[in-house]
Amino acid sequence: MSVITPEKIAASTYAVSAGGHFEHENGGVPLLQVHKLAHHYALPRTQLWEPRPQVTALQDVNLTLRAGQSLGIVGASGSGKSTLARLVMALDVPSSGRVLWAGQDPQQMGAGELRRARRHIQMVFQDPFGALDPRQRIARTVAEPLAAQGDTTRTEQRRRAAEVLEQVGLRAEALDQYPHEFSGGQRQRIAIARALITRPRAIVADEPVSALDVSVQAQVLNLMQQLARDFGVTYLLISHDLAVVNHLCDEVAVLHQGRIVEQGPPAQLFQSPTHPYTRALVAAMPIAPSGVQKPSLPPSENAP
Amino acid sequence: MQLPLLEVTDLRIALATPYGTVDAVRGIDFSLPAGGTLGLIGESGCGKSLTALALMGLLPESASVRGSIRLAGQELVGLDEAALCALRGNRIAMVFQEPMAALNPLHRVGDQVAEPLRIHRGWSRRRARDEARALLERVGIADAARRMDGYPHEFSGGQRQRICIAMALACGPDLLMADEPTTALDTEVQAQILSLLGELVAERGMALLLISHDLAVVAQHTTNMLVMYGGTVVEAGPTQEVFTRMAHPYTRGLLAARPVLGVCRTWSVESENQPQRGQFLPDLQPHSPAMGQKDGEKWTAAADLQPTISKSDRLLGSNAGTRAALRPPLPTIAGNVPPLHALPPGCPFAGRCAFTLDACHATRPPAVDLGHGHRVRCIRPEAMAGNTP
Repeated sequence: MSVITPEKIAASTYAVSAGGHFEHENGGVPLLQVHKLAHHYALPRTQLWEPRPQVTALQDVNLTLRAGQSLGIVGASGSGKSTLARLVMALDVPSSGRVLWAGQDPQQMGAGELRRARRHIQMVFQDPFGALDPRQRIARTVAEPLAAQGDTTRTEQRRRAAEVLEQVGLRAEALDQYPHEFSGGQRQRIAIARALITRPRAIVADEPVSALDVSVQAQVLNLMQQLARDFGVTYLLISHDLAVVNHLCDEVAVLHQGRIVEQGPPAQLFQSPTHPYTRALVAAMPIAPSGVQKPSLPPSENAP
Repeated sequence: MQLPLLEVTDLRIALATPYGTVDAVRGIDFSLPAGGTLGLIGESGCGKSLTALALMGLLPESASVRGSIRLAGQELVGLDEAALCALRGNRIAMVFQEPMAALNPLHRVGDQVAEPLRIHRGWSRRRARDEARALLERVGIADAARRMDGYPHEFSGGQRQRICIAMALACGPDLLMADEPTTALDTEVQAQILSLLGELVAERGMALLLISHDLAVVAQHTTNMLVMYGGTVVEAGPTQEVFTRMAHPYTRGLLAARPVLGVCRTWSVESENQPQRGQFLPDLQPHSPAMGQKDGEKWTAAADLQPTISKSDRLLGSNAGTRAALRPPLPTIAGNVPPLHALPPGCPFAGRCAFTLDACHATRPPAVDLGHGHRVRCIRPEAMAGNTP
């Protein structure tokens, strides 16, 4: 077998120094590689003796996620973004091509090995209402990825759950509450806490803020950014919102009809998009005037 | 002096909840002239959707409505169901957030578009069907003659929303309400749907009430706007005025909280192609001091961008070279929206606002007129002009 195990990555990825600068020590192996990935879905039969027609969700996708360099995937619905997330998380078997976690193919791993490897790559879903089991207390939901690793005691799991909840800005009392007692933004924090509990190197986030209100979005984005800074989490962020990707990512890939049509640093990509589709995306963003003049008012009689 | 098409005076909505009766909408006033566009901004629970439902007479039975809603002089509050049915879909039409939920999955879309014509105008099946096809063509459904016999599940999200718009347009309403019409859609489709709405409003002389949580959408598509918070209108006025001089800390907070991408395109409806640089002095500092956020020194790089605002500068912001994880965080509004049954007695924003004084907690602030029809419910709008609370 390969020399590099997921456990080794955890030990040697990179440390976060006090100044918030990342030191890359990963033996040159990226956290995640996607190599010539393609995926087809079979449609229902139209003719009894004909083969089932297929729809191509992804074709010839190549991506590299390096430690400390968050990658954003943008594209319209139906462009294959969520299929990509499922394949990257090894929740689905690709039709062709490979996904490599730190050089290892999760499809080649045995069940136990895969479960242990999942410690290093976790996922946050779009809908914070659907992602949490309404009948489980937060402690159990949050500790579940850790419990699945099978190497911790109940007490240890609970301690770690309290710790991550604190890291995402919730109090330890939350442990014994149920999801319905929290607002949308708090639930998304809980979902992030659950992803964080195994201290992953990478988090795949599929539209993590699009179900949230504007002011709550900002809080969750700040939290994600802070986790990247403090714990060196690297994101594979999937979103249709260019501004969100622009804020949180160091590189962006534009997915259009299952293919990556353009890739680059967000500043450059959104400033001078070369592909017509990227141009259309940038042009479609509604933009509020970002600079607001301070009101120049005479002191009113209502002033205290 | 022309009578406004829609005049809402001191509208109050109370809901029966497990916590007792709560005032969800606490006295809002606005008016909308025929053919005008009005944006209604706010977050979940601020009462914006309830306001729209009250206009349609669709509130749940447990809700009680007080105040007055006049449509071209006719009082809608307290109207009986039969009279409301004659209005809905006829003179007032609505486009909802979730097009799949708004369409009946068991009926052909052509029949659904034709339904208001059959009901309100008593048209024959054939005549209504011809008109439905014309409407579907107008909203951009390709090959409408064939596709009008399809069912909603055969259409994409954007197409479904177009069908909903065709339904709303069928009887040529005076007032079209769109409650978050594009929230469920992609950015690209959102732009298409919004420009379609804009075209139709201009073409048919309808008034549009556009409800959204996105300031940018309202900035681009309406001439007047209201910002709601905690069941009250905290800021109102012509969109251009409000964006030029945001006077309420909540409005400023909402704008600042959005991550920014891109050039400052001019947003005024009249002059789409002329960026008015002198008018909007860019404040590129990511932490608006007005929000009471502390400025980490190393992030402040706005000064050198002030004199010339090239497209790229605006696009990249001041932090383009910094790794994403190390860029300054977004300014946020502290705390959460208080639940309706626990709104503070004074200004609903008191406590979350960096400018809160004791006086803010005492009484609900009156609306202060800032000129040009720009009103704000804040006892110290001039504080936003200063630097420190």
